[in-house]
Amino acid sequence: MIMKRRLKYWLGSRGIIPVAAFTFFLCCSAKDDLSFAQENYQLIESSWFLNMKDFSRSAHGTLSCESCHGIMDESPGGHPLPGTSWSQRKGSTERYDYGRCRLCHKESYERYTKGVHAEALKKEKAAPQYLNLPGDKRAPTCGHCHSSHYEEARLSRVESGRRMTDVCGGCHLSQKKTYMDGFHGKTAVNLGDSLSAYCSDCHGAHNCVSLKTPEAALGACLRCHPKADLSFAKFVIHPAPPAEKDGKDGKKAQWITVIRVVTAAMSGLVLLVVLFSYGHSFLWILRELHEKLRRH
Amino acid sequence: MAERRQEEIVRFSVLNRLLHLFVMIGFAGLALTGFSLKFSSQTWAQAVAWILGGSCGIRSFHRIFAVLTYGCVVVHLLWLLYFRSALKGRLTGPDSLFPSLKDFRDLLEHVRYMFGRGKVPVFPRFSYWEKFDYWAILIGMNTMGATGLVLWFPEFFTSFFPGYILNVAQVLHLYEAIMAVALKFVVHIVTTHLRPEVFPLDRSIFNGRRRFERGRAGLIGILFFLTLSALGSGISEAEAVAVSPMPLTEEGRTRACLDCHRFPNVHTNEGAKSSQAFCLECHGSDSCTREDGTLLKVSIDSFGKGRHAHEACVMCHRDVARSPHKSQSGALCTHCHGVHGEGVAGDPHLRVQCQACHRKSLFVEYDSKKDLVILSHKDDKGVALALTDHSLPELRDRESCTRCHKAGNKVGAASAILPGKSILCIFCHNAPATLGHWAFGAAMLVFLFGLSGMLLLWFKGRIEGEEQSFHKKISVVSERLWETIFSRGIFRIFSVFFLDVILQRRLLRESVRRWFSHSLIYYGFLGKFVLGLLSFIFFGLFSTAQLSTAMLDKNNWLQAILNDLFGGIILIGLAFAVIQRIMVRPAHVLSEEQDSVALILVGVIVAGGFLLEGARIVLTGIPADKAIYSFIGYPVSTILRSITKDWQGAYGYLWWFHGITWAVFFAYLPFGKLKHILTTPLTLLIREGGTIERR
Repeated sequence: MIMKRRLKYWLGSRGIIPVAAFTFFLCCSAKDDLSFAQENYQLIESSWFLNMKDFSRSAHGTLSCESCHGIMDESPGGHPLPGTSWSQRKGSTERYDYGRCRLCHKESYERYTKGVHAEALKKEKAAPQYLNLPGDKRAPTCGHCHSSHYEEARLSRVESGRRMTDVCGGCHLSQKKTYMDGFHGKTAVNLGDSLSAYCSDCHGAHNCVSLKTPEAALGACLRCHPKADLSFAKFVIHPAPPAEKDGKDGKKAQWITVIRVVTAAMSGLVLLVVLFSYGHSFLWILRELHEKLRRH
Repeated sequence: MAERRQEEIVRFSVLNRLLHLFVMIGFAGLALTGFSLKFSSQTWAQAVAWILGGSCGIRSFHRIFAVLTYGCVVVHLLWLLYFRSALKGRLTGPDSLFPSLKDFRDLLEHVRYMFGRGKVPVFPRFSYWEKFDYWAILIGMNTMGATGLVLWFPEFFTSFFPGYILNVAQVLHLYEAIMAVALKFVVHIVTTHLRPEVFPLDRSIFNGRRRFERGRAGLIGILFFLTLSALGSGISEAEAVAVSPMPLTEEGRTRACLDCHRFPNVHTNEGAKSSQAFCLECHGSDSCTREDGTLLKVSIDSFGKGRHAHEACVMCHRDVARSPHKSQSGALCTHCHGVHGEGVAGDPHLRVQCQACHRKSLFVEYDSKKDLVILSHKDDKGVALALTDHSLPELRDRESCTRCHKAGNKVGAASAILPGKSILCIFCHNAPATLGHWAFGAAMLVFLFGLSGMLLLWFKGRIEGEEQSFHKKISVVSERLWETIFSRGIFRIFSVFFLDVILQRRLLRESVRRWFSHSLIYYGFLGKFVLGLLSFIFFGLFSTAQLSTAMLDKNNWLQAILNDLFGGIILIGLAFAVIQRIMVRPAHVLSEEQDSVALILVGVIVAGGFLLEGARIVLTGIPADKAIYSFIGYPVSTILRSITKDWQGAYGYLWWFHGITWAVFFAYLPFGKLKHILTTPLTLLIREGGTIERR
């Protein structure tokens, strides 16, 4: 009897409150969104129109157009004429000569020329078949990662790290996913812990290094983990299933297989145990409710 | 009181109670901090992290709780050692937590009891589920402790093991944690505290005695609070529209870069005009052609006088003003306009581009890349079309539907032009607030006729001594209704509604099996009704929100899963009922003809629905990776496809068959056995209202 009354008390009168609150929150979360803010990063960058509000706030906001673009009428090609086929086929990031960035960003530029992205660019120039690859497989230059008109200056470490995750992750999808699944990504990006590691902390910002072997990775580990040794560096930071072309890296593939097998086995076990015990509890409660109702 | 207390068994010693309290606190803390890290992308987790002092705080608290919890295990093990060696206690045998064969027999017998065969077995001091709880947590805490320690001191442990042991430890730690929370937070609390026999709280673990008084549980309140705070986290801040308010320079002087390249304020008429002028500099002249010579001149007549005359071109052609000068998305109507629901065009047509209907061009094609029916850039003879006509034609005539809905079309449309859904369909589908085709209107009329007959029959009886005057009867009833609604009695009505109507307490009292088979059908329909109603409400309130569009979309994965799940549940329930009726035939099953008619009708409707879904999947050619979420409709579609690939003609007939069977079912509701859907809840509620009056 006590139980009955109590159940009614909670579910009857007080039950309205959570239901009402639930509806309210559902309604709040279903708001309309028609703003330009949703626009894709890339689309804004290659647009013919400059958003002055964002530009004047950006790192390059004090520069005049001519500081980077030169005087259009005096440049060899002149202003790209509307309707000419080359202006329609090529994006602005492919057409712009990023050598001009070197005038101010000397160190970054030189680091870039030593890194793997520049190496890929050289390969691309040597072998024209690479030019037919889709955009996210092409070798990146300055403009692919940095927005020349809207990049903000003096970002905090956390804020630039968060943007970096999106920019690098735009092409390195599985790396971004595994990074965000791992401890570094969660603490650094989600919780804003500036002591944790962002992409460039291990791979470097402009001379992006691929840290495929533990020997190569150790140097990166040592920056934050002073006691790390070679065995420590065998921790798989990006445990995604290896791509076809990386098949040669046999040991890492083996480790990843072990990790995946353990994951599969554990999820199977969890599923079995949970299903069994939930079914058990449900049936039990059903039967007891039945008996209880009969007694009344 | 005092005498009774002395008779009671002391079930848990003070030490064990203390340990349980600490483990409880520690475990809750561990789960909170641990899952806040795991789900740190969620707002609630970030809120927890913020309160506890960021990621460092979470880590510190997690480790403090871990030490506290594992400390309890150590104390427990030490106590076992003391118990064994100093007190010469027994660690095995019937009075202990040591698992034995009897536990397995108990489990089997208990499961037999749950199925209604046999009695509850006499459990030893610790029953099998308590032992399971104990061993699960003992083993779990040790693996959690071990893997946690590895993750706490990675440098130390990797000097013995290779580094990927950390990966393995992470996986084990996570899954073990999920299992622990799923078991301890749900099963343990439910079986030891919320079970009807012990509800609302088994206090023996806190006061040591076997339960004998029950206190008020704040537990449900806490659970509700937790649910609420979890729900509240989904709101993000609206982002501001970024527009520059600077004016343009005068014409007539040498152009500076920003004369053209400044993004105009497209929300003002001046900005819109200047944006149009930019585009029309080329697209207004006759020399603007595609490479194949198609004229791309935008006619000011069709555009400048239409509804969009004061919109900037880039408002719709959002990704084309750039290099390369090529659009990926085409003109986007949905940036400003929401999609329309069932009422306007019969079906939301979510896989049809807006322009395919709302433009004058008559030629459409299916774009498999975008999975959309779009306006074609070529006519049926292969001559290129420019599509520069921006006028918005009138669409009220059925002629415009025949672009797609004709025999032998290549865009996967049914060859018949089907009417829109009716409000009658809302019991299973999302539907507009219109009656639709006259056939549904007729069904509604018959239904209302039957309903009024039922009401008249009720009012024939004597109401509070009044026998004759119909008018007085109505006034008495409305008076009582008013009194009940504006009294405390309304809460009793709510609770009866919840317990008897929603949870079907009466049926459960009679038999678990009947409750089960009836519930399957009932909850299947209820689920579909709630889905239909929710999407109706949502679409009415927030027609442009993403969620409402998703709720309209039959191919949305969640909608597809839920709809097939509820439909499947109804079918299973029907099968269960038929087996009861034909094979088992218990005493309570009075297999009347009316029952069979009801069962067959429901079966035909649901099976017809799945057939229709399968035909729709074949017809519209939804890719398998999308269609697979309709886990019943998709297998049906593969069977249908193996029969014939051409379902364009048959779809219309199937649709009408499904629609008419439902209309018949609906019209039949107030007459046959199915009346109980209306009468039983009403009777229960009225009876409850009556008891309040008498008090």
